[in-house]
Amino acid sequence: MFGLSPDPLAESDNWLPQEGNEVRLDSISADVARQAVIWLVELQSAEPGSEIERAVLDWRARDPAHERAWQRIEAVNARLGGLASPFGSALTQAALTRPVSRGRRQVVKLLAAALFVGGTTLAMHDHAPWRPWIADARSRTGERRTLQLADGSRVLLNSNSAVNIDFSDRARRLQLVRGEILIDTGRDEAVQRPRPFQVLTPHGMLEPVGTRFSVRLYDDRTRLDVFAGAVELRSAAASVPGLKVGAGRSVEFAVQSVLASGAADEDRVAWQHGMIVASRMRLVDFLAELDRHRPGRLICDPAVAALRLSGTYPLAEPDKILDALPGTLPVEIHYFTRYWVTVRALRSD
Amino acid sequence: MPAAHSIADLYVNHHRWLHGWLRKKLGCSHRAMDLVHDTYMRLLNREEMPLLGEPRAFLVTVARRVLSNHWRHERVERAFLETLAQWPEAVALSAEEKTSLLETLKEVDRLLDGLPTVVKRAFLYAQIDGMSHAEIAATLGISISSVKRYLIKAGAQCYFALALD
Repeated sequence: MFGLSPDPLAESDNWLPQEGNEVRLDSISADVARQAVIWLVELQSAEPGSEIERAVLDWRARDPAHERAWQRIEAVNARLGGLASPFGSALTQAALTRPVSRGRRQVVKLLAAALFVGGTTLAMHDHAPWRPWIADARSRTGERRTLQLADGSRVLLNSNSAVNIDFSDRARRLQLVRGEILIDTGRDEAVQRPRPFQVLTPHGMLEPVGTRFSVRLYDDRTRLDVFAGAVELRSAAASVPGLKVGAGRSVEFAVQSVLASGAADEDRVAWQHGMIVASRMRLVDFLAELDRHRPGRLICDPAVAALRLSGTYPLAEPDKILDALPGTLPVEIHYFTRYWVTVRALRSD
Repeated sequence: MPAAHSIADLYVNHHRWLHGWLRKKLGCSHRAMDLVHDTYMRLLNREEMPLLGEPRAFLVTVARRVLSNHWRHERVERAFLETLAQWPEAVALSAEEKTSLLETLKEVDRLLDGLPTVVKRAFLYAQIDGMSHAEIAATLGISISSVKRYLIKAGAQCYFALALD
């Protein structure tokens, strides 16, 4: 009855998102949250360079809790604006009031009128307005996002990835909770003493020095590719000595050991340009990669796992890539629904 | 005595029945099938915890949320398409930009759920358009102090899930 074997529901655990360490609402009190929003609203009506701007900086510096609250606002704005909408710049620059074109203004008015027609939507009330996992930055399946951090660093989130952002007086800290990120670190000019930049995964801590690198979290290990500069790797286990990974190198590490090292691979981060670049890639690996970018489950029949393919595949429409596979490989695509898809050997009958 | 049902059991024993239930609500078998899978995806993603004495009652609870989301998305999408139709510059947007914009709007709509319409509009004007408080006041026909109050209320809910009186 299911058209799939083995039963995908029964073996689903390995692709469930790892929730955890993502809930951070608790760490901000209602009073601090309220004050942060009041500052934001004040900033929106302030002149550039006004005393309000300085007052907000003072307020943020006074208490790490204040800074956390502010970071949350920025993270949500980045989440809303990072979707590359034509209005994105206004969202990410929420603190700045900038002139906008008449045409754009007109469309926002139309949208507001069309979206929020009179009355409240009582029927829609049965869910919490805020899921805890929105707390920091997160990308949905099929979505790739850019976060611009307060210190000028740029973080690209691959599909279905999540990070917690924790900037305090002493450190700029990113925790990779799920998926993969590509980071360009910025110079920390907002404060007098530069704060270290740190990326945490369950397997260890990475401390880059002016660099560009990607971090991918697997269930059992973390992979680091360094494209520029260098990254200090410290294992989560205190007994394991640190390691410096230079430009052009990659390592895979678990808590207790470095599992493998090799050359850094730019093809692996082709997703930043919305592509998968395959060079004699095994079909099973290719489909695993594609699976990250589309909702549901994509299953590779073991009989065709070792087939190889090469090419550059745009991720904008993953289903088109799938549909094109039978043109180059002896496979057929079986859609049970759009969520349950198997790539299997072409039947000869 | 609540039994621990696995999601696979829930699927095997009840998906046809759930499909029928959703088809009655939607009047479309294909769409109902999509929402059946959305419902099970929620279970798989552990957005809903199965606490089961009555598996079908539980499934319906989850499916109702999926359904209300679906209708809500349709509403946003319809409003969006109507707006684009009235906006000549819309042709300048790429398909990707339109999709992104629509996703943003769905998100904003969700985050502001439950707030009075005028509060939502004020937030949209300020946050997406960067209108000044005075401009928002003039557009909505309210005082500047009301604009600030609304923006604080909307911001507290949007950023911190905090309901302010």
